[in-house]
Amino acid sequence: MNYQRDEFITVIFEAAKKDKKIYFLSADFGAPALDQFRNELPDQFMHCGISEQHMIDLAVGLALDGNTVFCYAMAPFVSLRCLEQHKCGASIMNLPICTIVAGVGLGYADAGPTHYATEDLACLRSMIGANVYTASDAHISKLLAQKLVESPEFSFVRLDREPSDIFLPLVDGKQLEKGYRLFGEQQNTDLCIVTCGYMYGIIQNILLHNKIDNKVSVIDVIKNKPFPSIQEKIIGKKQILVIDEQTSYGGLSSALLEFLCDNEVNIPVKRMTLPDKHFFENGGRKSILGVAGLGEDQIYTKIKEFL
Amino acid sequence: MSKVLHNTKFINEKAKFVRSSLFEKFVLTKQGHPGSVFSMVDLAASLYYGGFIRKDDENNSPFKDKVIVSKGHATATLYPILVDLGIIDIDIWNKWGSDETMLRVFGNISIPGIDVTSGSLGHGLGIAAGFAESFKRKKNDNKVFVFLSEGELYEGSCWESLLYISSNRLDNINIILDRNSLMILGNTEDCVELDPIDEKLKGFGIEVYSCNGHDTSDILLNYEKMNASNKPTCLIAKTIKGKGVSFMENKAHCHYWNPLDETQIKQARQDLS
Repeated sequence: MNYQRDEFITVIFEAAKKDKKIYFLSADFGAPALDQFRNELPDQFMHCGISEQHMIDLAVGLALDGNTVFCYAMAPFVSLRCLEQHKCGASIMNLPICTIVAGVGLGYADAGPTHYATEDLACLRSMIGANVYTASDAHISKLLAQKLVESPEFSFVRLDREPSDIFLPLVDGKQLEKGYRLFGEQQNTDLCIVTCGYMYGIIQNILLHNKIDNKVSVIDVIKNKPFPSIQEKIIGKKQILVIDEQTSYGGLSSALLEFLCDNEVNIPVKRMTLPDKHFFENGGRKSILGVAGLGEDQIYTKIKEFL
Repeated sequence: MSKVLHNTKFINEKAKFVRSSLFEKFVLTKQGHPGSVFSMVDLAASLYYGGFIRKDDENNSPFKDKVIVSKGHATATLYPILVDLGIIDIDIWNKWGSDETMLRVFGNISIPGIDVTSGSLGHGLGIAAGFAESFKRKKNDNKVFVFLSEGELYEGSCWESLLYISSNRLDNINIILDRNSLMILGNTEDCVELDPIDEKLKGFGIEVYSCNGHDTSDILLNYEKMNASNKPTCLIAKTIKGKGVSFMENKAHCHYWNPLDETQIKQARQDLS
């Protein structure tokens, strides 16, 4: 089991050792890999206090002076609380600031709705010029860090809070550039599931456990914006099912529908997303997903409807 | 002292030139924020013509020191100065008012000499902290000057940044607080009290000075003190909104450009001459 955040930060740390113009900023958010960074490269680390708005403005000043900046904080706060800082800074001035959005979806289960990032994708996607990525395992997280160190850009990298296995098929650099990975049977299947992040592992387990991975194709959308060119992977499908740990307003399902509309692809789409309500239940992430209609049994039942 | 007295007459002439130049552009473009611009003209003229913004001879940048107009609606204040100093091409200035110009009411980084795109209030101090950190960690002596309006202090992000600036001893940041006591709906103290601003800033670890924001001698003396300080500083400059045009002075509605009749235009030109 690997943590996405540690894989990401380790790459930044190694790059920062060779490049003094790489800075890492945290709004009081930690990780074991970050401890190493701030201990060994204190001149390139800045603790900003629990001040996400200030952190992003600080990053803007650093970037305007020619530096590459990585900002790191808890997903709900570093996305929504400082949305205007993202807009007036990196977006309008097109600056190489990467914000690591850690703990998306219901990752902070049992903490309650203040700590859920269930609308962050909608908000970040709407930011002009932003590149938005979601990692579904730590290997992808590592590849994203390598890419953003080599080619810094205004970006948001959405990471999961929990450690996970490295899921198959293993993503390589070419697939990362394409912005998605494929799983299941691509040929001669009618149903295509489109998902990202934490839900990819859930769906893969459902398909493998129930031995139906040969009846469904799955697209794990790593690059949420700009949306990857998936036409050739969905042409001929009779049904698309989007499964997303965000609300239906502006999340992955909206991104897919925009893509289909803009590319005049006419395939029926069903959405399994979080409903437009707040959840105060306890019991862990999977339990709350069940309450929200995204439990494993509910997903399996929905998939069977289309088989 | 003699240096300051020598500079004062020169700077006053430049300030007059800046006000009259901008007034003609406001008349031409029928837009702008004359109240906020005219309140900071003497502060900006003193900064540039007083020699506090040093030219950058080594890098591909006009100045070593950065100027952030956090009250972005008044960024145009810098345009005539930057034209005069040869940073903005005179053709660009002359075209302001046509569709071909890059100049606009709110400044942005595509304009030579404008270091930060601004407009939304409350961002300047955080961005200044980023510049200041970068300069310090590169071990160079560049400074950052931030023009802040008192109305911006209602934005909580300012106080987040002040905490950081103080905690990290960013003594290369000098804040110039343009205190004209007015915002759109009236006097700041009548709307939501800010006073005692000086005590609040001091409480945040900022070294505070105060001056008459239209007395260039007073301004220059305080800029010298700020430059010599080993703490982050703030100059609270008491100013008059719309300074220089009799019927605009201390008028809240002069925050925005209002249509003027010929008599008013004539009066304003006379006031600014």
